[in-house]
Amino acid sequence: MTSWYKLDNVGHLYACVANSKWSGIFRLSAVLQQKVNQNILQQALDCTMSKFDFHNVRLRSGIFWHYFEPNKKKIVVQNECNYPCSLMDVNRQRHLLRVLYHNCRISVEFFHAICDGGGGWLFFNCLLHKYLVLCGHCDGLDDCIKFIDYDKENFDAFKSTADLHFGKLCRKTPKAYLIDYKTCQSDGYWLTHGEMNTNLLKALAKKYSVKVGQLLTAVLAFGIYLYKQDRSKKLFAKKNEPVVVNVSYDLRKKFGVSALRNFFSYALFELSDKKHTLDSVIAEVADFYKKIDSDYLLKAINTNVRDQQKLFNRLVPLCIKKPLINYAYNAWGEKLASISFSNYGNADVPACFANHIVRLESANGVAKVGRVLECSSVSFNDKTVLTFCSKSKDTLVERIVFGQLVELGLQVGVVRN
Amino acid sequence: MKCNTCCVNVDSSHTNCPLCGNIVLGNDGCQSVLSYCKVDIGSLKKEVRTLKYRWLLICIFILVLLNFYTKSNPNFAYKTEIFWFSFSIFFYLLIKEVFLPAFFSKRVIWRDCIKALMIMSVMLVFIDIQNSSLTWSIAFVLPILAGFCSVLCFAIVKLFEQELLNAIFFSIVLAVFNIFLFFANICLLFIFNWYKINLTIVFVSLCICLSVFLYFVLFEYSGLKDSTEAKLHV
Ligand SMILES: [Zn+2]
Repeated sequence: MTSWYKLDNVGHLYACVANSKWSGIFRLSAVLQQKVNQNILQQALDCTMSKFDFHNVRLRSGIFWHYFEPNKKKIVVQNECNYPCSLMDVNRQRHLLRVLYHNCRISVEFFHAICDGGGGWLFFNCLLHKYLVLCGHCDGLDDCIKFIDYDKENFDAFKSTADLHFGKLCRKTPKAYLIDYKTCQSDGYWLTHGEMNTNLLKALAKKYSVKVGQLLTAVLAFGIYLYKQDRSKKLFAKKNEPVVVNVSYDLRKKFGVSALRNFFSYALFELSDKKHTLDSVIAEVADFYKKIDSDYLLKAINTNVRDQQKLFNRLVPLCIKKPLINYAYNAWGEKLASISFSNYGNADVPACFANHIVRLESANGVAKVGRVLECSSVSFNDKTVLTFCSKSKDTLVERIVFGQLVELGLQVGVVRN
Repeated sequence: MKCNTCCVNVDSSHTNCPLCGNIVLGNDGCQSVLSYCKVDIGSLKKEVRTLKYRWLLICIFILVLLNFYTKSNPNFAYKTEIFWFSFSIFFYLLIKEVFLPAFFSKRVIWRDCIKALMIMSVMLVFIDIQNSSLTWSIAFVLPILAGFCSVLCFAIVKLFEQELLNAIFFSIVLAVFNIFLFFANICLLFIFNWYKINLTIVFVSLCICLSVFLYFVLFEYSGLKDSTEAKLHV
């Protein structure tokens, strides 16, 4: 067992900006057909954790950077009694992930510094598989844990893929239109799931000759565009800011790496300032996705890695760096996009899941400042679940987006916490 | 069952459509596979509340101690009446920790206003110390200034959202709040100077202070705060 672990690029950022009121969290859930058994889940978790050392850590601050220290306490599964994606005080030496169950739903909430969605799914798959095996629903033959070469995959994928001679990315950073939902501190976080048939969605995307992810991005952008128009009738409304969707990219498939830690990047889709119909938005989105090829993503990685390797960043102590990073993050970090969207695509799971799991869900926790709405989607078992995570009780954007999907001829099933 | 307005299928655990709030006929609201747990907001709020009051009480305790120390110590350099600090701290805490978060979370304009006010009050106090006389005027200037600033800022924030009724409603709430603070401040002054003045005034002041404290407690616990929050949210 290593005595400490280095954080990766994205991890450093998330560790710096987390405080006692907010931390970057994402959530993966599975709805089973039967009620969850707490004891079996705990057993499955213990079994999984024994393999995933790196996930059982706590966050410590060093002189120059944060680092992870192995945690001797084991993680205990909790019955969910709070809002989803609620606060995780990462600085107080707690675990950086939690496993929750309620009724038929098993959820895992991760602190973003330990892994991203892709890495999270690997962990969650193992946990679910172990649980189903212990329940006697699956045989232990196609055990996911065996497939993961743990030592090989627990590395900083950003550093190993970066090719600093290749050049870096210059992102334009205008401030985006922010949805003006009203937020209340005493309110929790709200998840709105919309379930659609994957095949119908694919057929629809084919009709527009785009991919499902692109279609969903377009519907989201168009939904916010409509919302903005609705709000612009009010006096002093923001009219000049563009609608921007922050699209997250899983880099694992593109670069053929199966990293357990963070390995993602993002691109900002900016909707042009003119009158739009859904068709025109889809056309713009398709153009945007064409631009994002391996070169673009490699440049994005380089930008990321190069910033960290600057002498200034390496030599300045953490106590000075942290407020600076915080200030920059609060001022720009999450105001660059109106909404973020991560599409996990078709979940890559063992075959036996299909008979025992109703559906999979994913959610990105809300942003620290500015942005009030996050969106993500995952497909499994012929069902695509589009999830909004919001800080507010307001639901107009969700209503417009799901309304658009209904208008396109899809059946949408909605549930909210 | 389907919501007639949004045309989406609503999970059977919702009696009302989660998107538009309309009643969905045929849904019984019982637990389904997809339903979430009901969060007990009461206990969450209670936790936050207890924490807030704990800090408030600790601060009041410290400042009372400081007051007595400075008054009983004749060698204290400037004969500073820490009361002025205590006032600004009391006021700041009350606004920031008890009232503001629920009403105006993330309202940058508010945070800035309070910061400016804090700096100003500290400056005023220092000017007074330099003149080695703490004028009574501060007792009036500060709360009036604070009240004026807060009502004005609030009205601006609300008017920008074009909700006139809300603006008026909350301006009144805030004005009342400020008048209370204003009274409380003067009364505290009387109480801290009990050895100099008529005991009847001290007694009356004590009563007023207690009633102000009661008002805060009632406001927090009676549900008025929740309903005002809810109203703000509509
Ligand atoms: Zn509805």
